[in-house]
Amino acid sequence: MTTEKGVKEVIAQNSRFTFDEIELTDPIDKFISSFMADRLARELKRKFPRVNTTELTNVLFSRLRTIADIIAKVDSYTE
Amino acid sequence: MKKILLGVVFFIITSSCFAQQRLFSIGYGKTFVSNDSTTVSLTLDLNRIPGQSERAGGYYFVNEVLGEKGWGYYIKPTVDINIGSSVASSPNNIFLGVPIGLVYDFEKTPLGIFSLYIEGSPEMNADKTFKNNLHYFTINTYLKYEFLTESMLMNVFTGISNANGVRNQVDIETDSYGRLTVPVFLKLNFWNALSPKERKFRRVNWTSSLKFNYVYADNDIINEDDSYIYFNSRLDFYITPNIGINAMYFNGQEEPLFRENHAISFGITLAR
Repeated sequence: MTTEKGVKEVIAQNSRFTFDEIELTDPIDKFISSFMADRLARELKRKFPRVNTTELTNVLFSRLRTIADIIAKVDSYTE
Repeated sequence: MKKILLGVVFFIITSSCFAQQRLFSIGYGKTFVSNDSTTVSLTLDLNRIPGQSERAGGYYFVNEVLGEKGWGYYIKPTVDINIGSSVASSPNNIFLGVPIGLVYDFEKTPLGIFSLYIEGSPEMNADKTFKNNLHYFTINTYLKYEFLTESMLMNVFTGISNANGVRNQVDIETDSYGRLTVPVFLKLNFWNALSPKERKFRRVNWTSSLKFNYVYADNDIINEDDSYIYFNSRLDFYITPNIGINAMYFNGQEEPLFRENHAISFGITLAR
């Protein structure tokens, strides 16, 4: 599974949007509120076990603002 | 009772399930009401803003999706313990609650995201001896507005809360207790606060709340009035994601005794 596919799947599972409606340039707050930041990080860790949940939660909505930002961050854990 | 208090503190510090999110503060304060104007305090805060973690990012005990259309549910253990040389530095000494709630995120609009929270919570609010305390169950409804920019996340909450329970007081018979509260919470979360161009991680959290309390049932000896206003504001400047410097300000009257409270304190925040 590619990182892009995995990240989009997790976001689709946690929002009212479908996989195909999620674009790389979309801001994260289009899909979820900050209330769900910790849940998003936890579910990304289920798909990508090397993810550091605490660190990822801390930077979601701040440094990671778009879907592309999140994919790049998840990739950085697996490199 | 000190042993009980220490046991609670130890449990919170060591428990892996309840301590998913920690926010501790140790600091020095000044009160403007009592003669004992300086205080040293240890404050434990956990999840005190409804529907919103007070820490950067943050965790709930349970926070899950319900269905596929914006609904979620949560269990959010809430703790506020103030230990210090003067009780005047904080309105309460021990507050414990376990809110269980439903949340609905409305679709994002050009203005931002609106969310609706409905929750129920058993709660306890006491002095440090536990002998003078309030036990009640609250039913709460909140509307949250969230706005995200390049450098800031803003959350505004307002709603209504109804508490029903009992007041236990030394040398006084147990009385029924009832309260309606209209709170307004404002949380501003600034990141890259020092160097926006370099995008260095420096986070500043500014959390404020204003509460209007209407007490419709209580012991007349303890509580002579029925309307109270309470304001508090807290600024946390995170040097690292886990360590910050804070300033806190309180003013007004708040549970459990609704005594006048006016204090400022400074401290170090430890968050995980």
